Amino acid sequence: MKKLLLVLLLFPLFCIGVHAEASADRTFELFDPAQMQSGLSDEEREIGGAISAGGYDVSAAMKRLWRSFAAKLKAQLHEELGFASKLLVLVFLSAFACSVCPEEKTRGMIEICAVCLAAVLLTGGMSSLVTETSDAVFRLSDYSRAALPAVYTAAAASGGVSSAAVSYAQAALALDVMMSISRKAVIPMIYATLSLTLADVVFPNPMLAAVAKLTKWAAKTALTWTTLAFTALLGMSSLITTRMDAAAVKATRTVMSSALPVVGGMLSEASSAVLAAGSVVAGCMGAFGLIAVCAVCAGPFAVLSVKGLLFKAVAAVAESTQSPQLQRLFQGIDGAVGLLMGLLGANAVMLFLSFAAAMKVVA
Amino acid sequence: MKCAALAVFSALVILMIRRMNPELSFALSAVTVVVLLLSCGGVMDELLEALRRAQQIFGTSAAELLPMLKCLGIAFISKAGADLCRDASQSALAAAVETAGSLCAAAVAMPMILSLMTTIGGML
Repeated sequence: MKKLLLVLLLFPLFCIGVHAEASADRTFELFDPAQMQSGLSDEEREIGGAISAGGYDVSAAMKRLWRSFAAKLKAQLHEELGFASKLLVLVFLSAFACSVCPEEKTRGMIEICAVCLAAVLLTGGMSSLVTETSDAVFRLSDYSRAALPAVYTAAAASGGVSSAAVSYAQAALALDVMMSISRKAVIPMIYATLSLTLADVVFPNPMLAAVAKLTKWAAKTALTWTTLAFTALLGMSSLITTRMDAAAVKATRTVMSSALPVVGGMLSEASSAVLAAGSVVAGCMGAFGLIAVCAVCAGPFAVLSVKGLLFKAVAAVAESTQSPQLQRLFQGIDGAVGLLMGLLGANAVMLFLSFAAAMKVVA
Repeated sequence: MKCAALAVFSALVILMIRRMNPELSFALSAVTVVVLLLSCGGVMDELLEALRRAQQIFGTSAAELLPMLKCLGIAFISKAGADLCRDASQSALAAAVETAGSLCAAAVAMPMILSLMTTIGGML
């Protein structure tokens, strides 16, 4: 009896606490979210904001992103209006000169002069635009190498071990493939489309026009099919692996609660809290990654949008002044701008899907 | 109005003296053409002034627009010369003047075409 009383009195000393309330902070420290900010400029980091154990304020980040994009759009519009008005002066002068010119052959020469001048004015800007867009694509690739491992590690810690591993492997492979296609095929095809369009406008030739159209189609198709294939692959694999992970987590919890008679249930509940903490951190990192990708693409998209809009407007004016060569030139340049937007957009969409897949693993 | 009146009056005089002295009628026709073109000088000055102001507003340089204006000038002069030759029943001369005008316009446009080809070559 005395022994029994002694054991009952000493029993509380052997109890251990099952803690889970600080797991979010510990998990946050373990996965080093600072990796998500590596490779970003100061402005992009400011737009992204800070990730903390308490969570990530997505709405504030979206507001900062929108304000930054609107400011860039406005600045670019002010800058490009001067250039667009220069092109309009050229269009009107060419139309006026052609209308008063008495000879057909000289009218043709005047049009060629106008087209060559417009082409020389445009080409310098287009070269720098292609360089700027390809730099943005390379920066997205570098950012994916830094951020995706961090997000998928956190996703694996939330219980989605198989899903995270498979999705990360697919995302990394697809992004490498997209980068190779962009650098070795799409960017040269954009330059080729520009050159063929310019040559066709100055020296009209059905062969040149057909080859320019084919090159443009090839670039568009390469981007579209790569993005579609990646989306399908990621979707199909996550269907299977997500269920496997859910079954594995459930089985582990069942084993834990049944193997240990008294504390098994508490351990099982505590493990849920740990997994939940991991999912919070991974969700925050994934959301930050999405905002960071938008921040990287905001500048080039603002430039491309404004240029595309202005080229369309100038092409419409050239059409109304009966300047078919100038109209074809501006439409061709607008097509090249569209290809650049497609290139940047495809890379950004694939990175979005990669981050979304990591957050889906968490869910 | 003044140009039209001068042209009609000259045409009338030329018709009257053509049978008596075709050479003089041709010379009168050529002089009238030159006078009419020179009288447009005032209007051309105003157009050029407007163009200069447009250049200043929109930041274009004269070198960029000069080839087109040169081509226009060449067209006017070659057209006037060719028609004068046809009036004197010299179709061959007229064709030669037109060809010379086209070649001069092509020569004026050529630097721009070469500049564009250099740019295209650089891209490729």
